[in-house]
Amino acid sequence: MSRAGGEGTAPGSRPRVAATTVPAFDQMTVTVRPGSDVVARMPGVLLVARSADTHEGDRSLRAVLNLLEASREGGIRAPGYRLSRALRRLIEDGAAPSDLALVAATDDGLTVVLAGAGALAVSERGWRLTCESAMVLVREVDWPPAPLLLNLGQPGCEIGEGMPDSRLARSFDLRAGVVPGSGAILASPPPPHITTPTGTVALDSDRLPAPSRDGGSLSASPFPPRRFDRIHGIGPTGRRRPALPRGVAGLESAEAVSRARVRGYRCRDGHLNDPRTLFCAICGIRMAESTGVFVEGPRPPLGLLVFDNGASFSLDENYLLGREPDVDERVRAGQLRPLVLFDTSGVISRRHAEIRLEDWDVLLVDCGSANGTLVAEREATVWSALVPGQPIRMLPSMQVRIGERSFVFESLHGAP
Amino acid sequence: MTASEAELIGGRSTTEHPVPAHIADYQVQRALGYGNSGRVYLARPPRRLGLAEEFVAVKLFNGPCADSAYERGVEELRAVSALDSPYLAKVYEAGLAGDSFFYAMHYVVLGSLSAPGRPLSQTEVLLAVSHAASAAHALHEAGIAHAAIKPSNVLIGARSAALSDLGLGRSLRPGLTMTGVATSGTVEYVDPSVLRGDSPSRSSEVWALGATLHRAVAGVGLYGELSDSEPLVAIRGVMSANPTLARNLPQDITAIVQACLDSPDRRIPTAGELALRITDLAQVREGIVSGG
Ligand SMILES: Nc1ncnc2c1ncn2[C@@H]1O[C@H](COP(=O)(O)OP(=O)(O)OP(=O)(O)O)[C@@H](O)[C@H]1O
Ligand SMILES: [Mg+2]
Ligand SMILES: [Zn+2]
Repeated sequence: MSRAGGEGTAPGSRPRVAATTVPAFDQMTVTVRPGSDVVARMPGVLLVARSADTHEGDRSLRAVLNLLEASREGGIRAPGYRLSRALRRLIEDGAAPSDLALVAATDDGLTVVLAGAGALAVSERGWRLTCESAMVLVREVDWPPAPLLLNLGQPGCEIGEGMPDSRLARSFDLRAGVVPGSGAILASPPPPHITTPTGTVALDSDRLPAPSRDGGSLSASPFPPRRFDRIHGIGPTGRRRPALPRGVAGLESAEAVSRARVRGYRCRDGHLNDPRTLFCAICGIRMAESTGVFVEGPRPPLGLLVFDNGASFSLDENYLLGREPDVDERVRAGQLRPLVLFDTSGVISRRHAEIRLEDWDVLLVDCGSANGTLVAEREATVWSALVPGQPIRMLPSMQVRIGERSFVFESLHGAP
Repeated sequence: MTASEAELIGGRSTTEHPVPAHIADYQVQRALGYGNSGRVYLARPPRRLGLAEEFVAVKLFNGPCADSAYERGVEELRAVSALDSPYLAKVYEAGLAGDSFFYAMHYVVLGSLSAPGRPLSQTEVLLAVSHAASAAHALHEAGIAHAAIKPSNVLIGARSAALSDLGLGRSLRPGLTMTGVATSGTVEYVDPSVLRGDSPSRSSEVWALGATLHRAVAGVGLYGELSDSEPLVAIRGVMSANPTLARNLPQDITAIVQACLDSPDRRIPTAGELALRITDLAQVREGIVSGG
């Protein structure tokens, strides 16, 4: 899909700074501001970190540099997502330098990680990003349209300040390595060097990270006004609904009528069960062999998807999981329920995976996502990637990982 | 954030979410708390609303919200607002800030039943839960299920309590059984039959009100303390165990809670009846106090 096409279909998206108008990360120049902290550059990444003259400080600095080193050895040109995830973990574990600022290339922009006094500024535009009271801030941003400064929050962080003569400065460029410094400026190379980028970005809109919310301005509110609707004093547009029935009959009991029908055995209390199970999924009583009549009825919910954060979804319908499942025709037509997944890594596709109920089985299919869907059996730690488009049957307690999110299939009716 | 605020929200770090200076054109003062579906901030409302109040509580939902889900949410909030119950938290407006769903509601100084700003007497707790039950009843009569009744959604107002945060979860994200168990132990307030796939009903909401009453009076949950960090463990715990009432629960309250958790055919049938039973009890108690 072309980028333009992607914009047309993504509700609420905005024109992005096209990645093709700026040189690839590694064609940018890096100028180091003198100082006694540490500046490091590796393919696709620039870091400024506090150097503390203690054993601890030394170790945490090494830990971060090792991360950069590992991604360099891996030959990854856009290490943004991976690095930011790994770095965040390090910071949260207290194993990173107290103050740091990092930018790293992603497929179509930059990811920023700030901790402690770490700051990012684009002075020409008056943009400034810090992590304020947070322990760590991770953000996806567009390519900056002007030189970008990373430092450790020194006051008066004008880009020109403390720099040697500008003509001379033009020839400074840290291509790769680790040097002392107090900050670093990432900028487009001076005019004669501007080259058309070479095969920088995949234009598959599925690979784009969620649009950063601030319209490209780093300092603007992350929650700009977009839409307001009065609630108090305004009635609903729909008709008055009938009161809920007394007792257990629920809100959506009418829905059960429209549910797919399955065949199975009824327990003594009349609950319809998977013919492969020995005990009733609802009341737990043993299925009496004598009942032995195969009957048809509306399919009961097959279990829950329990997410890492505790959100739980009932398996009574098919779902489409992804960053923007609403882009799918079938979701818009009401044939598939959307299940929006969001994480900060940006590796979740708009349509990532599908959950299909077939008879008494729960199937999982990867919809050809950019970064794949991983599964592991109950309590196992070995993950394998699904073959796109090939459904697998989910076993009870199977774990699924999509980007930074994960969930477990908590089966109700699963065959043992 | 001050240390005491950190305690109020459970001592957990909110590092992922620095307090924004603005949400749309609301001026954020500070965080009031957070739950599974989002965060709540104290904010100054914009002039255009023409509110007399100096402050409102702004609830900002996690994650992006599609336009279709937003419209369902607005419709649901309006349907609730039209009921005009004194026991339902007043919502002024809803909106999209960036792609995040938010709404502005009446701010109550004492916060919620889960961590009230001052210790409440047992009678105050009883009245608060009976108000919440009345609110639930009003919703049910209008064909709406709250689906997220729990102490943190019972706000302690000056004169009465109000049920807040109607479970928009389901209209924003169809199929959602509960928004999560990670923070306020939401799972202990969910009728196990809902975990097994039933839709919320009058009956399941009576269950939730009983669980809320139990927690607020006894200080512990029906399943002891459930794992905060492992949702699956908490869910399995609830699905495999029977609720146990705390021994420190006064007898008269125990009877009511039991009648809320009973099997559906013997359970108190409506939230309205539950509200009556609780107010009766409170009155009997007050009578004893003033008579003695
Ligand atoms: N209108 C309000 N006025 C004052 N404090 C409020 C208000 N609304 C919420 N709070 C406070 O914020 C806390 C968090 O509320 P929030 O709704 O985010 O979480 P929750 O109720 O635990 O979960 P859920 O997201 O499921 O509603 C509440 O416990 C309460 O103390
Ligand atoms: Mg709430
Ligand atoms: Zn049964």
